[in-house]
Amino acid sequence: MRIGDARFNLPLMFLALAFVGSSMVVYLASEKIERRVEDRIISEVVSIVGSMFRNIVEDLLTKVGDEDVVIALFHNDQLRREVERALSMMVTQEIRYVYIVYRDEDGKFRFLADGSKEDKAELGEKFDVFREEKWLEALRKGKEVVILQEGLNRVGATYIMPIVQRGRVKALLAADFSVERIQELRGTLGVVRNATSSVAIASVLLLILNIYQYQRKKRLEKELYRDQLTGLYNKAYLDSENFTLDLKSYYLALIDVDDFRKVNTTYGEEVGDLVLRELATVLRSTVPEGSLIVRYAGEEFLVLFPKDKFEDKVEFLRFLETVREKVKNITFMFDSVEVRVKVSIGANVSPERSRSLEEAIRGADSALYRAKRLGKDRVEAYDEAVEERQKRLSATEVMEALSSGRIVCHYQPIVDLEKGEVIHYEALARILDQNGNVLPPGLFLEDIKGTFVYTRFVKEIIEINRRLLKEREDLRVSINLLPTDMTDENVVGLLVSLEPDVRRRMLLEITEVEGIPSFDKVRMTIDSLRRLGFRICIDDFGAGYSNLVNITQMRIDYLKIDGSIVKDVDKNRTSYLLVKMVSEFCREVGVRVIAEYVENEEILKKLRDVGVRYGQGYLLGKPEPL
Amino acid sequence: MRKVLLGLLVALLAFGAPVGGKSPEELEARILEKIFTDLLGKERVRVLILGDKERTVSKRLRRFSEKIDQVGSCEDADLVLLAGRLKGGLPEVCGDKPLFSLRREDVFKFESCVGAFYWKKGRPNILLIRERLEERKLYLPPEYNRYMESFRGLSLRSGGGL
Repeated sequence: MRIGDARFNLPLMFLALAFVGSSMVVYLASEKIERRVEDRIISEVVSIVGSMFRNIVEDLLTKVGDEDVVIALFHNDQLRREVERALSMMVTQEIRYVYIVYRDEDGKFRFLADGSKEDKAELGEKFDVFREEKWLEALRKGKEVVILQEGLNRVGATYIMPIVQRGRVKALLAADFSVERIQELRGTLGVVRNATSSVAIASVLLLILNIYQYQRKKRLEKELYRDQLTGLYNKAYLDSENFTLDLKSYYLALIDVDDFRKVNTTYGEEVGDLVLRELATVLRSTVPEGSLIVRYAGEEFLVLFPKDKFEDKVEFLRFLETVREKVKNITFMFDSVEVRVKVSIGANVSPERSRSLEEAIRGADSALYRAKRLGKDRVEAYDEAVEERQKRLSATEVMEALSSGRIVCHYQPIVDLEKGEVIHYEALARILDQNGNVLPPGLFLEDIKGTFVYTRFVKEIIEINRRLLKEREDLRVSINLLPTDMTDENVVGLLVSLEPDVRRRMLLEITEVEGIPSFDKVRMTIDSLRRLGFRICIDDFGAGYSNLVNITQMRIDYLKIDGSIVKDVDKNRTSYLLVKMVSEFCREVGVRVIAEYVENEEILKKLRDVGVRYGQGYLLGKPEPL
Repeated sequence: MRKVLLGLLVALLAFGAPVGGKSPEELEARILEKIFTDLLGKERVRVLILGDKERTVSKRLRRFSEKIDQVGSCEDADLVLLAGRLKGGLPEVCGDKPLFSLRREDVFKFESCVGAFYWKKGRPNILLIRERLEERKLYLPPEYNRYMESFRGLSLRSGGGL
């Protein structure tokens, strides 16, 4: 069995993981390389600017002498112009702005001098610096600071040199680098990083997608193939493409709660549901590992049992008996309500002989049906091999048997119970199947009644026995006929045409005639046949609703009491009295009585006690070929 | 779903915009939105945009700002935003509305200009004129103090606070 659980798409998952891993490596490496390259370029630029800055600062401080450098630059236009000229000399494609700022008492940065060629600032103009903490660091520590500007679109980096006068930082000389090379580098590496991070993001999304699909499939599976009440698989699961089963490896059983409707009507559907849920739990804990339990219908569970958990089918059936017993002994408690249930189990012990699971389930179902019919609370097995042997024959198959001479008779003796002698034999029709198996009339007779096949069949039986009586002059034989045969010209015609000697040694056993519409005609035919030499026997007396008065209306020789009465004659007083009464009545009217079903000595004794003269049954002789 | 992911991947590779960093345009719009709402003490601000860069700025604000409602006349506006040069001067009806400019020099040109937002050496700068704000009873939280300047102290030659 393969239960098709939702699965990860493994190749996709590995691909995504590989992408994520490699992307991370490339991403981290690119960041490191970028930083190193940036550091090197900046340090090179700073080394050049730094020396120039130092010269400017030195020159400025020399010029201002003892005067405060900020006040000097603020008020001395000449000085400021000279400084700005010097600063402007440094402005190149790479160094966009060069300027001097100071910090006022309010903590605002203001321009003192600006050598920039574009976006030139006014003297004293407030300047909102970016990353102020770095500017303050230069002010506090009196050390050079390099700011790598992230987020400014025109300035790549800023180099700040403090102007220190008498040990105090008075102002800051700054250069903004438009570091195109860094930007280019950033751009190139940025593409790589964006690409790798994009791949990583996409890979993570793929992973998430994979997990999402897996969970979704699991959820759908649960919704589709799980029974909400019991949590077991449902019938739809068996039809799903995910489900495949090797029938050779499993036994099947259908477990059905007996009279479940009563539970629902007595205690309510809520309790009924709880019973089913508890029952599912019991089954789960009882069945061997590897079994599959399916809530197949309302109160019906299908269980697939691995064959290798059992020695053979006998052990399997024994196990099912323990399941049945276990359920029977459980008291389900729901609040104050105590509920006990019984189950019937139909097992298919040869599912491998079925062409599909459906067919195998049908087998188990027929066994379950039998279990129900036979009184419930029992385990019944369906064995394809056995069932096949018991398979009913169609009219066509009976025709084939007729054509190929496979109709035979087995003969059971009718014995004089006083003398112990066989008075005659009852011819019992049989068909031999293609394999030579003997099939009883129960497998074909009902299906051909009323058809021309039946007439042909009866004529064949008459013919077989005619031949036998011709060959064996010592024998007397009875054949079975239906009342309707007595109105069938073909049958009657054939009987009439038999040789007189044959007719005298042939008995016609006719099943009860009560209730048939053409009773008078049947009676007249029987009388005619009797006059021709046939002995007449009424068969199966007591099986229907016949009465003795009707019997008296016909001239008959024998009356055969049905086995259903005789079998209890030693145990059931009513049966005993009935047999006794019939026997006495027939003795009075000159009809000989035959009792069927003489299976044991007790029955035989009782029959003798009540005066039954003739008997038939396994104790006296089984049906067999002569 | 896989097609969507593939599309996303291609888009990321092709455009590869730095994630997390705001563009100067977006930064400008966000700053203006913050200043205006704080300045007027309103959740949403009605702004009339004037100037030769009106279309660009209008588009930008529409894209990046959720709290600025652009209006077509001074009567409907809480504030006038000057975007670029203003040809023909300020309409008379706008005289009593506070002005905010995207150029520093406008604070010297228009008496009603209460402040400016502009880019100085690649850096976003804010200038707010203390007297003009007080005159219009427009008060800002202390976090704006660092951007406040006295107009008297402002001058092309002597803006400093020495």
